[in-house]
Amino acid sequence: MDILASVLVPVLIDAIAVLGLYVISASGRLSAGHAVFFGIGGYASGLVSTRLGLPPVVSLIAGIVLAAVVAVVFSLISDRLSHWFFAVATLAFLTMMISLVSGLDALGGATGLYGIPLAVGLKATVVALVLAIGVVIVFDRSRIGRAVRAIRDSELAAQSLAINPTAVRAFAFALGAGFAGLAGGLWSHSIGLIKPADMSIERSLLYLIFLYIGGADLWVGALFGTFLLSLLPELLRFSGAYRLVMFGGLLTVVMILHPAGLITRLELDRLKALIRPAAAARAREVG
Amino acid sequence: MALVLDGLSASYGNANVIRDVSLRIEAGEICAIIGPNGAGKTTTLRAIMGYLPVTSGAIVGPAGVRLEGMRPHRIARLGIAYVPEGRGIFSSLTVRENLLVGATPLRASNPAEIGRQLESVLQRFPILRERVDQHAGLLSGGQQQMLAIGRALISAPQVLLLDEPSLGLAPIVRREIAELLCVLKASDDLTVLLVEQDVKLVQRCADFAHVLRRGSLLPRIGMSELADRDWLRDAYLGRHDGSDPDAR
Amino acid sequence: MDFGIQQIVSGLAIGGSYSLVALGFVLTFGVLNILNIAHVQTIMIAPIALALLIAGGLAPGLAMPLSLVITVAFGGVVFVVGLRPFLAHFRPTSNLASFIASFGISLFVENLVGAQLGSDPRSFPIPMPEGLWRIGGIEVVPIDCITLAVVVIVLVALALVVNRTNFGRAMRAVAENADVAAAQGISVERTILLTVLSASLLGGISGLLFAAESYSESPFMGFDYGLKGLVAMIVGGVTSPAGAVLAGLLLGLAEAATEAYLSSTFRDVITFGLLFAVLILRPQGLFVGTTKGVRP
Repeated sequence: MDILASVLVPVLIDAIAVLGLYVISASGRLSAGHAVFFGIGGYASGLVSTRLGLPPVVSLIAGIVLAAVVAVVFSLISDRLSHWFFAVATLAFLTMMISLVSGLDALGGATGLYGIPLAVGLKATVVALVLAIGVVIVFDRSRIGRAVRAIRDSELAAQSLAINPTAVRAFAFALGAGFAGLAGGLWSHSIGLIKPADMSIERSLLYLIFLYIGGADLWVGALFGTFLLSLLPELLRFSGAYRLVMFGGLLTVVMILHPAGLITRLELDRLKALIRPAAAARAREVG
Repeated sequence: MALVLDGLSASYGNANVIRDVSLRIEAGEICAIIGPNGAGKTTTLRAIMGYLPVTSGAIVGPAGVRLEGMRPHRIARLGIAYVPEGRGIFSSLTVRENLLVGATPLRASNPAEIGRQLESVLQRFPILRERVDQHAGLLSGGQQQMLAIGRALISAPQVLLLDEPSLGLAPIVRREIAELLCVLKASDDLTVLLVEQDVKLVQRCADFAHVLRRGSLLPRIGMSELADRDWLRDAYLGRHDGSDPDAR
Repeated sequence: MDFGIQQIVSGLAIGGSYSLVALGFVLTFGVLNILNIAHVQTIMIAPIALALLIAGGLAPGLAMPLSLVITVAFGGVVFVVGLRPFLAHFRPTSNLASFIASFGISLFVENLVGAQLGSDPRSFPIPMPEGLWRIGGIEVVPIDCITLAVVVIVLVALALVVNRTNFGRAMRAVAENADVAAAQGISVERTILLTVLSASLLGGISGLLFAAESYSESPFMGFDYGLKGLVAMIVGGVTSPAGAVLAGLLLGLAEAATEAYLSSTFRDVITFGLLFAVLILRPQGLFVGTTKGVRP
């Protein structure tokens, strides 16, 4: 059971972060440096529980809030950048933060923050993931969720509908960052420490790979990509460096041949039709 | 015969389909295509120039070369020059550089030829000579139109495709353009396919015209039919099919 | 350490190398409208190829140009395999997919090299002059001098090509309006390919300079230096070559100043912090290019 937990917990945590990436991608943006919010959440949680002695739930919330606040500021500063350069800016921010955190002794320097209470296990991460999925489902169906997608599809049209693109983008970015902050907090409480290497470019790129291979159109795709690509290499016993070679190649191929990823609305509808053919037929008649 | 369209059909995404368009222009003639907005006039020119796939029909250029399926830069090198709607000059390049870019089809030939053609264009358009090293983005609308035409002419083309040259220009500039076209017809033996909304400009210099309505080309008409405003309006609105000039 | 002439020269040297990276991006982005992240690997391919060639027994005088040839070829292959599939009628069919694909290619390349050759840094294979040189009464580090000289030569050559040659005019025409450029007889695809190859050359040269200056190279150096080049591109105004050069130099000087006055651990904080400072204070960048109204 412990082995299962030790394999699953990191994957579930990653899934939460990738759900955050999904929310951000709905606004048409690429958070290429997403791990920075993972780190901010992890360090905030770590500090709140070790320095202030507050219970894990409080520290997790602190991690989410700090990540979200930083994200709003970042989004407002970088708002004018179009998506490629926004992605570059997130990478620049990540690199900046890695440097900053490594250099501050108060945060443990390069070795990191130790002694964080081990309060998170398999049960807690599953609960957190379920909550996260709940939030994503609400987001998808809400007015703000529709507004976010409207911005991505046509900013001009959205503006004519009195939607403020800057505010909506900032909201989506903050929400997505909050997810990553939660993931970071869970991480720090699950292994008891957080270090600069935990918020790496590699982690960020892995999250991108999970989302865009899995399918960025649906949250199911985000989960699917994370689970598939985290667990498959374990099963196939791929060694570290070649794993990234394979992922990089796979990402490129998927983007060229099937950019919507593996799980798309089409696939999902087909799947639904298989499972509930009657309902699907009725839907076709009406629609 | 310099340009023949034979049953040409093309589509541009979902809009502006042209169907079964046929026309024939002899060397040295100016043919005008007129018609309401959205009729497919620009689509026709872009199809000739290879920007859109031709779904059926043929395009025959100078020396009988078939143009369907060719890419735009190849067609340009075969002596067909295109001045797009809105001029399409390169704002960040100088006047001279715009002209030099226009001379690309001449690269294969004698390098001195480019210098000669440049000089000849500057002579024809003194306003360009005055501003030859200015950035083209600083020119006025009319000057940009002259530059666009000059850039098309520098490669000594046999066919010139002009899309709404008078668009957005003052009446006095429109007259200059009409005069220019008349001069070109007389001196250069240049074949021109002109898309225009300004019927007066067309009357000044064209040999004949076709009305293009909803993707279909009506039979050719002369300048006298063009003068009949009511007939023209009815043709635009589809009240007749353009075959009988006396139709009411 | 105080901030004297030596540090300024050093800052300008590395800044100049950043400029070359930024220019490669500006040129390619101009004609292609795709930000090709994989381009950063040209920074790594050149010094790695150089090390392999010299280890294989080739003389440095031959190995250096050959390593650049290999880098240019690499750039061409990446374009044909990874970017061209996204072009239809000269313009990218999907902006985001091509961008993400370029990340994939970048990851693929650097990890493949890392897996095959080992991910630890190794030293630059050509010994650099030691000590200090005396030039016009000032003492400078030799490699900084060499770097500055190379950068100046490359920039002058590039300026001549862009402004005086047919290719340069074609590149600028395609960057502004590819459709109209095609109507002038310019082969847009060929122009794009040549631009990508030129950018790869710039990347390769900068990679050799970076590796020589730090006397080390690693399979993962492409991303590190490349990101700074990208930051310079944005600070410079994205579409402006002159802005890219200025921003690169500024970045280099800022780094040198940080190392002199603060510690080197915070160097990246200042370098990248500069990006956000510019975004707040002068969001359009140092220069705004006149080629098109692309929002940076």
